[in-house]
Amino acid sequence: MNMPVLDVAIGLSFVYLLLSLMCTTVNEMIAGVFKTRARFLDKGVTRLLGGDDDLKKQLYQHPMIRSLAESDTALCPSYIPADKFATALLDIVSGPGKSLADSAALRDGLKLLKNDHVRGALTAILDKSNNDPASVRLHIQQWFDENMDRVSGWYKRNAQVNAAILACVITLLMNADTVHLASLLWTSPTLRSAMIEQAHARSQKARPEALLPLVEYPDKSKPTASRPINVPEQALSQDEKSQLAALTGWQRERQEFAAWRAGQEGSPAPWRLIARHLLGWLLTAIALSIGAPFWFDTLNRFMNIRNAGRAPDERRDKTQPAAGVV
Amino acid sequence: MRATFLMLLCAGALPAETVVLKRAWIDSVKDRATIDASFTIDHAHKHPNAPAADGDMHVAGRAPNEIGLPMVAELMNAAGAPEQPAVQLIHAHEGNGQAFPITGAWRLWFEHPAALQRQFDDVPPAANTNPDHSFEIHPITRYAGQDVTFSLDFVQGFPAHDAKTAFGSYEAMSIALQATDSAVSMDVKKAPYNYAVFRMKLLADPVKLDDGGLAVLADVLDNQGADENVLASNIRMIFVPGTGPWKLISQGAGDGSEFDALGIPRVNLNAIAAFIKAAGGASATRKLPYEMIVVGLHSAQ
Repeated sequence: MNMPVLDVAIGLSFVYLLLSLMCTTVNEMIAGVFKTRARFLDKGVTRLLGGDDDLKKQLYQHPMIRSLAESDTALCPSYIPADKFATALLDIVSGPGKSLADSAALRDGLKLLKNDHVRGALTAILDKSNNDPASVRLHIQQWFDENMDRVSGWYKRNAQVNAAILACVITLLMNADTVHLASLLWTSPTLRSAMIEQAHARSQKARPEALLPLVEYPDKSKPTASRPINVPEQALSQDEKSQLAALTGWQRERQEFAAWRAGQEGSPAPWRLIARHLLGWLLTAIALSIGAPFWFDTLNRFMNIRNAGRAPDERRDKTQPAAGVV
Repeated sequence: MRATFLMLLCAGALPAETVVLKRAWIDSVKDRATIDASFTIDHAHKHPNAPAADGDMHVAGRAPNEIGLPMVAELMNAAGAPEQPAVQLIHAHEGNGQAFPITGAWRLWFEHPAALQRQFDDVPPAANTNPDHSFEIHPITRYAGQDVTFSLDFVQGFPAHDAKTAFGSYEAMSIALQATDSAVSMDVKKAPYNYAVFRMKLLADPVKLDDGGLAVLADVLDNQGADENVLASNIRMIFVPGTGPWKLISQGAGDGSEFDALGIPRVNLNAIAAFIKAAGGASATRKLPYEMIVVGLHSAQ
């Protein structure tokens, strides 16, 4: 099916997908470097304990929790199971040498606790549990879990904001102007067909959020010769990187800026250079903030329309492993 | 991937367990069916599980030099008469602090995991027969000189999990990997379905592993109903040397052969090793690579 409009749409979806994958990779790198998970968990625990830094410190130093951290110098673990939290908190409040099943010791410990927030919460839990140790423990776990659900919400919102900021940064760094890209694709049938070829190859890969396998066995007779696939460094293939480089970048603007500085007649001033890209950048940034999975699905839909229906041998559900992968 | 990352954030709601293994150790076992160790028994079941429960005998202990993780060893069909000399030796050695040689299929799986286990940290004596553990020698093929390779067989009266349920669960499991130059950290959620019965269709001829065991890639088929639905593709099937299944598969089985099997899942460390070698220090959350230790086998009916 020869439809230039559709081919331009495929080309744009493909570029958005590649740039979104870059955003995802950078976002995860940042989260790893800044230990975002641990920071959010720490924020949640601080709130749970009513901002009591001393109690929080005791909790993190408790053997049940300390052993979960990556190292002794880590702020806190990346996660705390609810049962470990309940055990550590009961142990700290009851005091050394007291049984965790001793409700009287827990009540005595609560009287000595300066933190009104935790004392109030634990007293309410004790009353609600009729002093049954197993029930107390269960209610503390529920209390922790409910708070961690909120932490998950904070983290999600933070990740969305980060994704939007990264979308803007990558759009500007790459000078990915949707209007300019569409114009390039519309006027160059050669570029369009090259993009379609690359887009087809990408659409055959797994959806970005799908659970990808680690390896494949290219030769069925060699079960010890597995080959890694989709290793993290290879978010984009070499061909895709080349294609992206051909469509984006600042080369033309650099030349125009140099010409303007040299006083060449008809050269646009810098503010004009920026102004002509503003709409295109805005469109690209909005598109990237939607995320890679959306553009993967959109690209697939466009490819299916272009191919006038799905090929009979094409797997419908790409989340399932293809032959050869485990 | 972002969704998975978020899921891992709140382990209170979705507990993931972490095992940190040495890469050199992974390389040493990744293409072996079995492992040899000096094993000190802390606790053993007084009596094997009833056949309806699985017929295994759990033995908790330590092998600090070769394994370095909290672990149990399990003897299959342990109520059988031929297994009794080994059972008696296990009870004789229980709690005496002495180490005896043990061989069996190594098994990394997350049925009874702890929050965090680091390989070759100090392993305290087990407090009972089933401490938190992610490593097993299961099944045992030799203990203190007593050969029990014959114990690998179907367990009469044990209704193992059906293929559809078990492989549906295995296929949906994920693993988060993070490697350094010397170690790899694996975060995995608790894994159910210890034993599964299934039909397998070989995709090639079996090949020899480093310890004389055999491995072959196979498709797993639904063992219920008339249709041969493929439930999982390209699963490594592992055969422990000297056992009944190993002998049967050695007798000319090849591409297209079909067998009914009883199997135990374990993490496919061959896949993990290949991946972390390529990925370097990058973290990744992926589908859990697993393989099946085939402990019972007969030609498909």
